[in-house]
Amino acid sequence: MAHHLKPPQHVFILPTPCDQHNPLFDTVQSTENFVLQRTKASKSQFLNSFLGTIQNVFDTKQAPFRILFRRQVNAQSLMIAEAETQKSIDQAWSWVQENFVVGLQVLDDAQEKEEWVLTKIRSLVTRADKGTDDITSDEKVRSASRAFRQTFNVLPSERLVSYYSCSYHSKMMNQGWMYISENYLCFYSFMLGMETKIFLELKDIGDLQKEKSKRGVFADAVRVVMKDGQEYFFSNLFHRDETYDLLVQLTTLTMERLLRNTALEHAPGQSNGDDGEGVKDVFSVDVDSLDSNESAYSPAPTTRPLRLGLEEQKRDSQFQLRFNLPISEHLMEESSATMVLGDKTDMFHGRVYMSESFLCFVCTDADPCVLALPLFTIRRVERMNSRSAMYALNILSWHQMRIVFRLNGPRTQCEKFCSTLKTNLKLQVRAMRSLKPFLATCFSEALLADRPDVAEKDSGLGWIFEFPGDPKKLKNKSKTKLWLQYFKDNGRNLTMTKMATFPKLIRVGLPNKLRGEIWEACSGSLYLRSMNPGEYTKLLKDNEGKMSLSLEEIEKDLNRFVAVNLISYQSEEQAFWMLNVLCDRLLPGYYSTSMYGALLDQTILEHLLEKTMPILSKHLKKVDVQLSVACLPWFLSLFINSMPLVYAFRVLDCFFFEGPKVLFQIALAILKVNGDELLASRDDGAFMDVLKKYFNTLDESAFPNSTNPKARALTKFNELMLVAYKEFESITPELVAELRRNHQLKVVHNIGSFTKRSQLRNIAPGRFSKDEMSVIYDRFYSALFYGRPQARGSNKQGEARALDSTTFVSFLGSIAHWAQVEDDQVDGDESVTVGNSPGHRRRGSNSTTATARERRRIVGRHFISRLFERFDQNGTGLLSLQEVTTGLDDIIHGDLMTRMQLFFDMHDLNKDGTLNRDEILGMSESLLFIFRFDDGDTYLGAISNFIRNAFEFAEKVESPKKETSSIDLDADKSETSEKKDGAEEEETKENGDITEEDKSKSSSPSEEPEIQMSLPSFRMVVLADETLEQFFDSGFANSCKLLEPVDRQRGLFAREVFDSLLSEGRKLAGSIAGGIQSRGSSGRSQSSTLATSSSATLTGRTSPSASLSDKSTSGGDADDSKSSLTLTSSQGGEKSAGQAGNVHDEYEDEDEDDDDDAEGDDLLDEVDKFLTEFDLESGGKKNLGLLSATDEDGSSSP
Amino acid sequence: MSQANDAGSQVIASNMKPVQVKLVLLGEAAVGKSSLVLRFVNDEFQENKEPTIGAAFLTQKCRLEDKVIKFEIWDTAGQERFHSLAPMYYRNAQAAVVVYDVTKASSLEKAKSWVKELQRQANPNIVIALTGNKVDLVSGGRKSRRTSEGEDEDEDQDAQEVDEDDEDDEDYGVSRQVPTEEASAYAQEAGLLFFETSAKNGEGVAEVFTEIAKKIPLEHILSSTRGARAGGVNGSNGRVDLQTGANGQRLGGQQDKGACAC
Repeated sequence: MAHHLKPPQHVFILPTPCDQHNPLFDTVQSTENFVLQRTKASKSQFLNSFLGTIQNVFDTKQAPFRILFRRQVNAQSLMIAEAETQKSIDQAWSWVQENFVVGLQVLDDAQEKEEWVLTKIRSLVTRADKGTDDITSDEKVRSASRAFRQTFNVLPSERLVSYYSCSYHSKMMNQGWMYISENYLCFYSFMLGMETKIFLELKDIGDLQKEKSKRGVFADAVRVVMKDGQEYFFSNLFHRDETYDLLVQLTTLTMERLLRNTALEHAPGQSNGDDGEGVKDVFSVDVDSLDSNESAYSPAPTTRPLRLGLEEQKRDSQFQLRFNLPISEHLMEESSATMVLGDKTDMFHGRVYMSESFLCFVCTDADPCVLALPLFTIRRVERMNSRSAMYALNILSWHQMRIVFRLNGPRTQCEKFCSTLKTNLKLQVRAMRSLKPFLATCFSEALLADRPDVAEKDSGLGWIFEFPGDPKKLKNKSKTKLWLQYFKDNGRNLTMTKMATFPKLIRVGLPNKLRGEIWEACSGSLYLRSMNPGEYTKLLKDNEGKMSLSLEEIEKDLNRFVAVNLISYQSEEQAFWMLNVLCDRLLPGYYSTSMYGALLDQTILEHLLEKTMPILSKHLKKVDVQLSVACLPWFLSLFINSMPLVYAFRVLDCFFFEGPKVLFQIALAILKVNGDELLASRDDGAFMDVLKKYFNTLDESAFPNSTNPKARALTKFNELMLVAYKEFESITPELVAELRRNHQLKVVHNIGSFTKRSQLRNIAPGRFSKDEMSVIYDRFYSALFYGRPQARGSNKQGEARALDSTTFVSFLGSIAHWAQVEDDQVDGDESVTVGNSPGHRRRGSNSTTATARERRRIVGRHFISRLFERFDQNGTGLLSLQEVTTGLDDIIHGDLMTRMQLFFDMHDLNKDGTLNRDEILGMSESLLFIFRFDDGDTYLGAISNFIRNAFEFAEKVESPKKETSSIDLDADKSETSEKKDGAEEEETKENGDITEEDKSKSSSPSEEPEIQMSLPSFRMVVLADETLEQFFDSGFANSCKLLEPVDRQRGLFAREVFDSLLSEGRKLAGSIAGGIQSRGSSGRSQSSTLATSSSATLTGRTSPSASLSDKSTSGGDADDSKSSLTLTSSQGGEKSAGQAGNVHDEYEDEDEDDDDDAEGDDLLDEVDKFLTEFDLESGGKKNLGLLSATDEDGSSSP
Repeated sequence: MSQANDAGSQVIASNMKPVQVKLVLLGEAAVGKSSLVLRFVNDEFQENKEPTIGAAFLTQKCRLEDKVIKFEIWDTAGQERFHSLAPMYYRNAQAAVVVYDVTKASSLEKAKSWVKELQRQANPNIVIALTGNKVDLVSGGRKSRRTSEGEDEDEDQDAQEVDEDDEDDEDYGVSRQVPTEEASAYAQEAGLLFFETSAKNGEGVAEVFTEIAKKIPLEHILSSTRGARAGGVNGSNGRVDLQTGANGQRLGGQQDKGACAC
């Protein structure tokens, strides 16, 4: 940069739209294009706290100083810098003046000006981000990530990958931020009081397209099409291609995960249960050791931004693909270089790359060549004295071939390259030992040693049973000779350079005995085999005698698929590694259970047909023939079952060298050659006949009537290859890769919707409608998809189609609001964030609420896990879609009686048919848990009533049987048996892990007579209360929402406040402050109502003047629901009806602590306290961080 | 054997223009779909023994009363992974044979799910035949069917049967897991044709195809076929055309016109 002043570090930010006339900021300085502002906050204690609020809610970068850029385009402003101190903002301001003002005067178009400024700022920011100062760049990402999480209410585990400024087009253009995380694509803008919020799941994206923005001028837009057809258009993306590539990469990963984690993929035969174990064993070994694809997703403790990981992963995979390297290789160094091979004088200019165990070179000149040299085949490296290049590496390969690389980079880069090479070579020394035995398995070695007739041990079946076809006709001998010469010139097997003549030698067909090895060399499986000596034998040994359904499937498939034919030319071990490359790299997803890869390529073939032969394509559509009917088997079996074997192998020769694009070329050529006849066929039968006939005559002359003897000698197969390579030259590996990327989302979604339909067909839907079933299905698999982050990349396919207890929680949370216990963790996380803000809410209440929160979480988990057990009818610990459907059907469509029974059974922990005291309390806790989000406080009264009535109407076991008017229909139990039950229960208590507190309680039974409530009395108690009756009659069922969105309380309220805050400013704040006063008094009166309603005769087990230590014990043992109710010091704080009320609960309870503690000795008081605590928590939940600020404000203002 | 020969004898010379019937075989893996087809098609299509990837395609002509029917048979692969491809094959099919294995209860469940899928997704007029295969393995307990034909089976067929179908129950004396009554009741309830067959000894195989042929509204197919696949069909076979004219009048005229226009 030509300017003498260095830009201040970490002040500039990615340009963010904002409101210049924000009432909370004062303008300090302003020029034509820029404004320096400073917050008013420092002047007013009150406003300061509100700013804090905004920061907590919104977590934008609300630093006290900021610099805005005035957009002349739409009279808006973009924030370009912010700072905590006057000093740094001043620096930034001068820098801006110095660097921009002159430049801006030169430019006259507003649009141009803006672009120039923004680009400059962006590059500044990005450079800072990419710098070595990880902490700062990390902090930026972290804060963006926090804003993202809070705005979109995602789990704390969700990781933000990147965020971009962009605009979203709906009716109007909204300038805002695009957030891209592991699982979501989100957009947020806040303009002129209008909030736009878009939340898209990556897994639901059906198509991504690069577009020009609306006026068609700038190539800066991306269109996102969801699988349901909904479209979103984002423009003004400064790094559009980067954004697009990132989205493609992430959606691809998501698709892979979708395929693996949900219904779409599962090990064959896995549905039959028992053999699943075997399946896993056989499969997991090679997948785990070879598939490091998921490395970016492993929960590595690195704080490195995810995005860097993704970029690296992409670069590595491009590198691996280019040189057919194992995926364990990572690109470490690269440099431009010149290569000289052997004694020849030819020079190749290109690039040299280095990974852990390879040195690769590619020359892209007119005379192309490719070399991937395993480091363990290098005998010696010398640095040569060379005049032309400073760094020349003279390499002597195992085969005594001399290779010279001249590095043409800057000195430091070359030095780094050399030192990495040195380190890597040292690490490869061990691997050199296995080189000799390995080379003994290569036929090229035998050939060069001039003993070509020696049958190598462990070679293909062809060596024993002869190869297919007539060797004379195949010109086997002369082909072998050509290869011999090639090996001498360019190295062999592991050290072979692929020169311009290489493809030609491949296309004329490989000689029989070399075929297996050259396949390996072309596909890269040679590297795998050489780097994993003994692995195959070990696998065989480890799995010896194991049976699995996979084996059966494999045996069945043996005749149809490729493997058996590989074995003709290759040893078992060679074929094993070949298949590995075939399934993982060449044809990903072909041989998986959904065959999505094969289906994807069929879609691409159809697309290519339409592009290259529109008439035939149209004809097929007209007569309703599906191309895949004929072509899918070609691709799946690589023509082996369609063409005569001799020709199929010729295709394979090309395929292993050039990759899947060959299949497309040949398939299209077949259709082209037979075009006329195909155009005449009217149904798929005729279509098949034409092709079948063609394949059977491939060896016939293509031009039998030609006068030219050369043309007559041309077989139909020759013709086919010619057409394939000449007419379909345009089909390149890059094109295939791009088409695969473009079509994969659609294909996966098609498979998804097909799987959904066919699965739903086989589910007994109970009383659910089709739509409802569809929702249940979606949420079921959604829970599976998101639910097991720790299992990402693992192979546990057995669980892929059933919910475990963890995923069940998130599933239920997606159906019913009360079941969203995960949110609690978010709360916990947030409270930490909030706690870091200066001076608020540290006093006392924090630990208390933590205990209560903990308690509530435990109650919730217990309730849900008991529900899980109920749903899990066959006790497998996993819930199938059917079990979930049936379970929900009972809840939602059962009647009042069944639901009461359900609750009764669920809380009858000891299964004695009655509820004892602890079980009744457990019930009330569960009810509180479910009601916790309800507005109003009627349910508190209802639950108080429930407990009182329950204790009143339940039978007391110890005391003389006092018959109340309860209609105890189950009264056939004798007193003694009841006693016995009681005793038994005591025993279970003792055996269970109970805290001392519990023991002490049970040791003094006289104080707390055991009671028992039967189902009929439970019903009676429920029906006695209108709220409860309504709950069991319809409320609980209605809480499960299938067709309407489930409430997501978090965030919503806070946002509302935030919105009005901007428009109303002080006014609103004032009204809240006023509200605090009035609410305070009304809350108090309610609390006393509750307290006085306690008239039960039970004695409290502990002192009501609860100490904190008391609480922590009860929190600790709380996983047994028999434990006592939690007592907390901060009681009071009534359920407040309105949202405004919620805001002040927190401090209010502090005021009330002492007053209420004096009251009530009985248990019910404790319950009340618990209730309020409970409630308070749910209130706090709604408030988000807002609570803290108003709290502080409240305590200072009244 | 005799059954198979019956089928063979129904094959007639090709001078008569046949009615094309697209038929698809579905069912769990290893219930004997391919064997059934091979038994039915046998001598004529020896070279068609291509392994089932996606589906094998075979054709067989047979005579039914005064008509010639050309079955275009799509013998689908039974493994679950090929399930998503099935719609491609049962699309436009006029008939489906859903096969299960009488010695394997789960195969009937799979068959039922196929039937459900066909009834919802396939051509609404599709004729579905539910076929319990491998009755030769349980021949002892059956009443109204011949039981001893199996012994006459030549080695070739035997080997083939084992190859194609049986993975775990080559040994005789396997017990029947699907009672005839149960499957038959289900078939009746779902409106399916019902058969029990043995691809191994040929029992019941030809019947399956004959009964399907009888039940298919051939005239309708012919007329609609000609509409869609113009050329060739019309004119050359007076009898068939007359049939069409008589029964398919509503459609007939229009369709013929369309055909001629092409």
